[in-house]
Amino acid sequence: MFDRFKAGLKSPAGQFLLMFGVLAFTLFWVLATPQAARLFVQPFTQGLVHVSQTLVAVFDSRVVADGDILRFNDGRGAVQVLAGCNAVEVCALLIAAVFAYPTTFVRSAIGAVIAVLALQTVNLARIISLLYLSRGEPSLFEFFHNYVWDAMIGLEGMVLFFTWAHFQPAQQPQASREVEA
Amino acid sequence: MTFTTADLSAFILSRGDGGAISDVNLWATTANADGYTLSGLMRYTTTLATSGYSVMVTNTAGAAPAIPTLGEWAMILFGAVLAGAAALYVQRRRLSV
Repeated sequence: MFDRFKAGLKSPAGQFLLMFGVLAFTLFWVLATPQAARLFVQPFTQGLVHVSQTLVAVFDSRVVADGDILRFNDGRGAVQVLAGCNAVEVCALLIAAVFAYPTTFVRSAIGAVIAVLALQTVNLARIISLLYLSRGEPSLFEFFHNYVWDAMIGLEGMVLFFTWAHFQPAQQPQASREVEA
Repeated sequence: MTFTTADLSAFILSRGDGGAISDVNLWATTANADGYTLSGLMRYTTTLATSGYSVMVTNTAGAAPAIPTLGEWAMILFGAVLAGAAALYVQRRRLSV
């Protein structure tokens, strides 16, 4: 039983899972510290509100950024962007998966940067769309917030990871590498 | 939380609709008689009384609705599916070389 467990850990899948677990735990632990909240999470979240407002201002001057709140200046419709609304946790899981994948550090770093940029772009679209939905039908807002965007973000994370992984060179099995040596 | 008409009349008038709004959620920043400033999504219910409009304002949510990217369970599901599918992919890719 223990031997099978040890063999499982030595397999590529086992090593990936172990590395993914360690990296994800470390990233979440770092993000949960008060220092990270103060120096990174909070400014980043408020930055998202301001970037959203700047983007919307191109075609709609009624939207104002008020701290962590994005709202219409006539009061009809507002959303609050808090720590859990900035897609940082999803990015952390994706970064953990990308760096746990057996490839070079440079390839992983490039993949992580592209994945984070793509996720944050979609998250901006999510925030802006929910702001407009909050102005209309509350049931439609709840549906999009709880189901549509949850599924979209999850799906995007999967597509980003597997598209990136598809373009990584395949690793040789350990046995054949030993034979070659 | 309920405010008197006096607390809110300035806000209502500044909106230019003179109390015509009824039973809607609005973002409001207002000060009550004690001088506290309140901001948040508030439900306005206006009724026509003999003395004019009376406005009752209820602070419904305290603030605008927060919009978490993924719920707690969705995050757990995403992490588990990503890790599981990626592990299978890594294993198969190694074996197929």
